[in-house]
Amino acid sequence: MASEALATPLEAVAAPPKRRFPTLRRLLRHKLFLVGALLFGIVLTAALFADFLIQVDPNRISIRNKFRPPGSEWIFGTDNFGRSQWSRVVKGAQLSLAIGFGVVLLNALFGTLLGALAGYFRALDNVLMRIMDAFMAFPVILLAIGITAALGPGSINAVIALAAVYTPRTARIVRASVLVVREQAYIEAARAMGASHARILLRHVLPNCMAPLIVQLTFIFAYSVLSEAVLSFLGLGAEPPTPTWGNIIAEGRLYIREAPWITLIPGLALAMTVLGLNLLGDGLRDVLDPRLKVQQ
Amino acid sequence: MSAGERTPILSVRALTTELRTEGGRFHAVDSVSFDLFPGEVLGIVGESGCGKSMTALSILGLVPRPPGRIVAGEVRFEGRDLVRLPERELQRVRGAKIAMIFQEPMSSLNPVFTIGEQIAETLRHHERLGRRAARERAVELLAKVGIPSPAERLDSYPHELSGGMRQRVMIAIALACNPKVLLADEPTTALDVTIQAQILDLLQRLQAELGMAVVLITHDLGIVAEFAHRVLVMYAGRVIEEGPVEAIFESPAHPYTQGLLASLPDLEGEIGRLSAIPGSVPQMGELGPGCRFAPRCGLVEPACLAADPPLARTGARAVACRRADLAAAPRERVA
Amino acid sequence: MLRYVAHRLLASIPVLFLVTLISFSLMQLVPGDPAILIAGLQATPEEVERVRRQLGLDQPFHVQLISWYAHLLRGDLGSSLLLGRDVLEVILERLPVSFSIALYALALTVGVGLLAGILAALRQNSWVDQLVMTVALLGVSLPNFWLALMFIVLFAVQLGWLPSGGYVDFREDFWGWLRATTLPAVSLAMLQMGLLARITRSTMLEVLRQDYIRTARAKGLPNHLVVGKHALKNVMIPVVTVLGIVLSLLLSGSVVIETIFSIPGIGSLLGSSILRRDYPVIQGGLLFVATMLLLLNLVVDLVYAWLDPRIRYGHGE
Repeated sequence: MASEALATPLEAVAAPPKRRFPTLRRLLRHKLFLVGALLFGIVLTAALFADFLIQVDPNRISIRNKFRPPGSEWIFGTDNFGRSQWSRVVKGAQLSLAIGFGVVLLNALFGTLLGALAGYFRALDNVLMRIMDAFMAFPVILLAIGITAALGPGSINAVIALAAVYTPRTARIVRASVLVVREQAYIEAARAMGASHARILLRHVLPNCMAPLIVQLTFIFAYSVLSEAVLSFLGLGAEPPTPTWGNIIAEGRLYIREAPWITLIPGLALAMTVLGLNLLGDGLRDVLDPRLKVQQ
Repeated sequence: MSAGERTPILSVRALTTELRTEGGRFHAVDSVSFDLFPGEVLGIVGESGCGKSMTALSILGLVPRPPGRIVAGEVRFEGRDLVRLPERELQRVRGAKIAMIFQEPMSSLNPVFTIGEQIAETLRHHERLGRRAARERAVELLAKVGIPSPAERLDSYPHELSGGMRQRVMIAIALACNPKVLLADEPTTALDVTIQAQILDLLQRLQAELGMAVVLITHDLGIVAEFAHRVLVMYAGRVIEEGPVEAIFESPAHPYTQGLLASLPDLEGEIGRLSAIPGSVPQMGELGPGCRFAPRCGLVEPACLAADPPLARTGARAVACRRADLAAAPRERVA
Repeated sequence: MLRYVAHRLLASIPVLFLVTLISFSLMQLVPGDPAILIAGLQATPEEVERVRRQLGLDQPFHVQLISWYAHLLRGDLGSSLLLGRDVLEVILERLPVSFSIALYALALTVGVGLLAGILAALRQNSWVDQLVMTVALLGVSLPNFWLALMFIVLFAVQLGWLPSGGYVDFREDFWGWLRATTLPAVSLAMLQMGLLARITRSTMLEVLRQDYIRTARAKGLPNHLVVGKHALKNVMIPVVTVLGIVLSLLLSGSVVIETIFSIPGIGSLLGSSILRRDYPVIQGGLLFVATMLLLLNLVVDLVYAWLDPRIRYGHGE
């Protein structure tokens, strides 16, 4: 009787079905993340397939076509040299994203390296962090222009400058995660089993620091695209006639009354890219950072 | 003295509070009714998640609004229904007539204000005392709750005090305006055992001195046995048993209460296995139509699974169990 | 608190040293012969040599380094190649201009950004919240120089309400100063306002979830006290730490904004010096700004320590 009574409904309640890739699913349900993905996706597509999307050479001068407003013939209009703005803005997307990507890559590499070393080895922490602090004492654009002023204009130098500027911030984030993870019990266990420092760092510590790093890198991408635009606006990015959104805006500035579209469109393109990336970053942070999961 | 002779100071009827989570909507407090009489200590016991804290929060209208809200019932106090009272009026009741203290003394005090300020502001707000008068009263209150050198302590910040001291400050704040009712939500759970005893003694003393009615919420049966006059047992959002403390401990009527008491280690008897109630508290979304305790009950029968048994009253006791009269036997009978 | 102050001051010294070192090293980064770059391709060998000697580039590395520090300690940041004047002198001349606009931008940032963030948090998920957060997001995503140009087109060209450039000293004509600096200040502050609004909102939401807010409500305190007194002071603490970043971003943005609006400040000085390769100005300017920022951050840290009694009075238990 008793055992019968006990064997009731506990089993009857079915376990909820297990779902795979819970994080990915949560991301895909996050509305703003999807909006960001869409916006950035459009720009990314334009950048990747730029050469197919462009019919007129971005540098082709055609004076008789100067200052055409956007319309059926010229999608984004033309500038003072009669160059197709569509071609230039789309080509500019390629360069802007490439630079952003380059900065992110370098950040991922050096930021992780420095942050991991600083967080893991106490002896290095003080020294490395002081150096990082010194770099961070310079406002972003100022340091970037200082470095590009020294190295000279050009896209590669812009990438180096921006990577140098943003790496300390990335290193900080990685260091913070490493400091926390380092104290976990499984790290001690790994050490007790004789794992070398390198192995512990690579196999145990770093994989657990991925979440904040990914979020940070997404935002760094956004900042680099913006900063690169500022640099090329000031004349420090790729040299003309190579189109970047920044130098298109700079050139268009002179003709802002007769042809406002020259300045307007690249700005919107920039806004779309940065907005998309910001939304992606926000979405990633909401999903990957458990602390903030409470609100719904 | 039977319940019918006195007028309750606080009367809760069919109070129902709904909570929304990712899993869905459910009633954290489900049609809870009870009376609180002047000068008595009413203990509310139950496991974590049974709705006891929510009940207290619901009485004062402190249920956090986005996930939760009171959907039914009334709370009668001084001739008014607190549930339907506008916020402004409710604020006059809170802290002044009905006060509440919480479980976590560490985080319940604002870290950026001195304890003196946190006590004094209640006095300034409710009793319209001036700065100096409020300060003096605050010193008196600190002394009353047993804090040494109260005048100096007034300007300390919460982080400079130990857990026990902070809880005393919380009590001082609660008692500042001589409330008629004190809701104490697990006031000692987060404290060391020795401090627990001190705080409970303090509460008992103050309660007797001020003649307050106290609702003492806890999961610790020992505390209930020692300090409460009457007990309410809650399970999965419902009241399943009610009665005077001695009677409940002597002869618990509901199988759950029996299970709770049976699982207390026996200091005098032989050493044997600790008995535990099989199974675990149901997830709120998984409740069936029948008695909520049925899945774990040793006395379950088909009728129990069909409909939730109502709380049936006989004299000073009440129990929500279909098989209660059979089960109203000495403690041994559990399974 | 005293210990905290002393500790922070001491920690700043090596950072300051590194900052001076980095500023110095920038010159060393120049590939090839900087003297030729500066003097220009048309320069005669004598002119190149003159530039080289003027900048001390003919000296070995360690001599240059020592000379750099020797000059620094005397307060000498070198002299501008183009203007022929003391770098420090030029900077100090332009400081009030940049400072006044930065202050204006800061006031907007804190006034608008902070309030917007608080409002959004209090009306969470309402249309107010959505609106504020959308505008904040746009502020953070739109390039400030582009916004500046759009503002010029709208407010200066189309509507003619505000001038499209130039600067008026506030000591001579306050209203003129206000009119001239409004568009630059707003363009400069957009990013910061958005940032502060977002951070304030999330901080406020976090604070409102805390137990001590529940206690304040349980005490029967009215909403304006719960939020305006209990919550607000706790929100200000993390927000103050963001101010350091805000200041840095303001200085960053000033380069391009001052250039667009033709404002004779430090930002535009740096902007024009790059194109003209006036290295002493770039070096000196960077060093000056970085040092100023370090000091300002120190002040921010002190305010933070003062606000939070846990730091001010040390840990009791």
